[in-house]
Amino acid sequence: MFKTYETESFFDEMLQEKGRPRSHYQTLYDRLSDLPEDELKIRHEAAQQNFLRQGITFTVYNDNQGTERTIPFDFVPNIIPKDEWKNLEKGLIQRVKALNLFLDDVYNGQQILKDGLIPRELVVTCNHFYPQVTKIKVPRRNHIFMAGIDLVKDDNGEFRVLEDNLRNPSGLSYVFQNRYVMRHIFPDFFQDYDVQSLEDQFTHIHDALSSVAPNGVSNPNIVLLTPGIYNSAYFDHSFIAQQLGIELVEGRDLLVRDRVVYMKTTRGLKRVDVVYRRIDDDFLDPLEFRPDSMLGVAGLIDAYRAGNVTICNGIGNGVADDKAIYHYVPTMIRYYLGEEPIIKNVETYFLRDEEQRKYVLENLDQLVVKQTDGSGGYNLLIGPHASEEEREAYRRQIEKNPGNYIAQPMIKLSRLPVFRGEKFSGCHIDIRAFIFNGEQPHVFPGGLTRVALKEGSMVVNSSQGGGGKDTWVMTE
Amino acid sequence: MKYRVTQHTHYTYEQPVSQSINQFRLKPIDDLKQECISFKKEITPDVPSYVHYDYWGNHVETFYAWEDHDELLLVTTSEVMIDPYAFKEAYTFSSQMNDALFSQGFRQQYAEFLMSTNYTTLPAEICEEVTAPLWRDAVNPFEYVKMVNKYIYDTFTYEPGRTTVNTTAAEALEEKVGVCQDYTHLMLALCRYRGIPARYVSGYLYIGENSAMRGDAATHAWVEVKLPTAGWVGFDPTNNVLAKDQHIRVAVGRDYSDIVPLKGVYHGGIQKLEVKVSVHAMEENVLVE
Repeated sequence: MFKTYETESFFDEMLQEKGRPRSHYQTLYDRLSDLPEDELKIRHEAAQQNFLRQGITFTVYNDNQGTERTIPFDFVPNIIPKDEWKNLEKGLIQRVKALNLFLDDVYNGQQILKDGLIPRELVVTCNHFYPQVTKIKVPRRNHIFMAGIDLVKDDNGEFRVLEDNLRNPSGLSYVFQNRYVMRHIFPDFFQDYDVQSLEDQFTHIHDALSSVAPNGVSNPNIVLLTPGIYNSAYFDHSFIAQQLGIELVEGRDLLVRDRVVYMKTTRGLKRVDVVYRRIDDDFLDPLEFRPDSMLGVAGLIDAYRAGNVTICNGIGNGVADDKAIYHYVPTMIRYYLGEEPIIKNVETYFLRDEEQRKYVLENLDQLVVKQTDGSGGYNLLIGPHASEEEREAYRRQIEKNPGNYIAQPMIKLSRLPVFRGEKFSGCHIDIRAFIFNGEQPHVFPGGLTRVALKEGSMVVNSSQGGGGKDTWVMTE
Repeated sequence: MKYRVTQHTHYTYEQPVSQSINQFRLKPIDDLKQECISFKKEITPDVPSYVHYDYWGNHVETFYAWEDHDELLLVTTSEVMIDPYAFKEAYTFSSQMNDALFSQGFRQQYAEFLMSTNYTTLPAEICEEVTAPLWRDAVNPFEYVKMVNKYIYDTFTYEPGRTTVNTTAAEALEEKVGVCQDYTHLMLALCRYRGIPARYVSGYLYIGENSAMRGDAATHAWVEVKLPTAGWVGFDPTNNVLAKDQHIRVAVGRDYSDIVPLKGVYHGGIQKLEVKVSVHAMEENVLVE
């Protein structure tokens, strides 16, 4: 099955040059090589069916055909050796710590802006900067309950941060489902591997949510606030609520009276202490944000301001995960922690800067260009893969509002084999690592490995035809 | 000048409403140019309110009228003293001031007041076309702002009812008609386009007995621009004057959405709003030039 497999010029997680497996993949490689092709096909098919049966779907926007579909699953896991993971953990904790301090600073004294280390303009004119939440005393000064940090490995095999997600990172449920399916349909693959279990993760997550309850409430009432069943990540919301044993509510199930949030129940009103919201800032409270929002709860910000409820993640976190601010995360790490960043960024060019813009526009065929406030892999230009016309159209877009774009060199993302029915072929991957902040920061072991299934594609977002793989962090 | 301002904000509902949450920004600013001697509010139904200060420094109160009610009345009474000597007619604009105004540091410090907002966004071509002759003729940025003030006053027709609170500068400019809010949003756009930090001011206008000044006798709006060494300087494009001791400042922000005097969310049907404002001069100061 691996005879025709080509690593080409990319870093392959499983195979070294000349087709020899890396040591931590040796056992699995041997097993895959021994299994008959037909059996792999049947089990591969069974895995896809399993997702469908469980109703694990993802909504694709801008798709005229049925909007919900499953995320294709591939059974070759992403295996991360213990030492490599330990170092990543340190780097992730360091990064999220600095990002949290940055948010606390931006919404309080703005010292880092006064010191001129980050252009003030970039922060206070950002679409995700919400003056409404300045000077609010956030419990534990914890703005980031859950972070999703997207990591890639470059062609030297070095991890880099591609993107920070500090608003409502989704995908956690898929991590569990990937593991579940893997355990059921490929149980033999786990033999001879000591993979970190995910069993007690929800205890950690629940503890983290409880630890940020206001006024030190000991047994807080926590709810997950969802926009509802039409949201692309609704499956994620319902799964997490169920696993955490907390109520899944919509805006209409809550109300705020005299600065206290209540949940409507059949036995009357019940006070709410922590709202894990999966609704965007703009829609959270029609009194303070978009007045036309039907999804939010009027008065929620007033209750937050009064210190009667904790909102997770904090409001206005978008100023820290904006693609233009990304460039300054290493600066934040040095400024707030006095440390050197453990995980590097990808080099970033600002199109608001005339010189950098000139360079980018002259080298569009070699760069990836993104909108600073975009997400989900929508509307980005992958220069080397785009046609001349596409690049021209994008150039016109950029010229209309250059400040809205950044560019990065094309990173040759590392690859892993993907089962194609009769052979394996190499596909690019990234990992979304999840970090939870409670009394102590906690890195979820593994995270969501996303794979670009389209031949040659480097876009791994599930909204753009990406698939999923199980992620194994080794304990030995 | 010392004033007493009373504002009645009265909502009546066709059917009783409930679960009403409201927020108001009606307390006059207290700073070096203006002293807010007293501020009282009376809410009907009788409910408590909670105070906070927003990012822009404005005094904000939030209150909850939970039980069924068929009217909501908010009466605010303020006594304000404005120092008439705190205002100047003209500014000598040195070349150092000019450099300071357009420096990186100044741009960064006042970035919020240089940005385009939903209300103030205008196409660059239009800004260029409108401001080019003024910018060319103005001897300095202060004079430029003064010319913009006059330009808007001269080209616009003041006509209540033609625009709404949601009208943008771009929309108002098409018809060249509107009220103080529209004049103000356009002026903000034209100042910011030339790199002069400008902010929205809401407040009250003292019209007096025989004044030629116009403006909704209720609440007024105008512009303040930030000039180096001069602090925030007020301009009222609705009246083509500098805003001085007849302009009582209540709240400031990037545009109307930051300073909405009273807003709320409630359960129930159609509402009718009536706002009455009276501004009385309590004593006259003789202005010595």
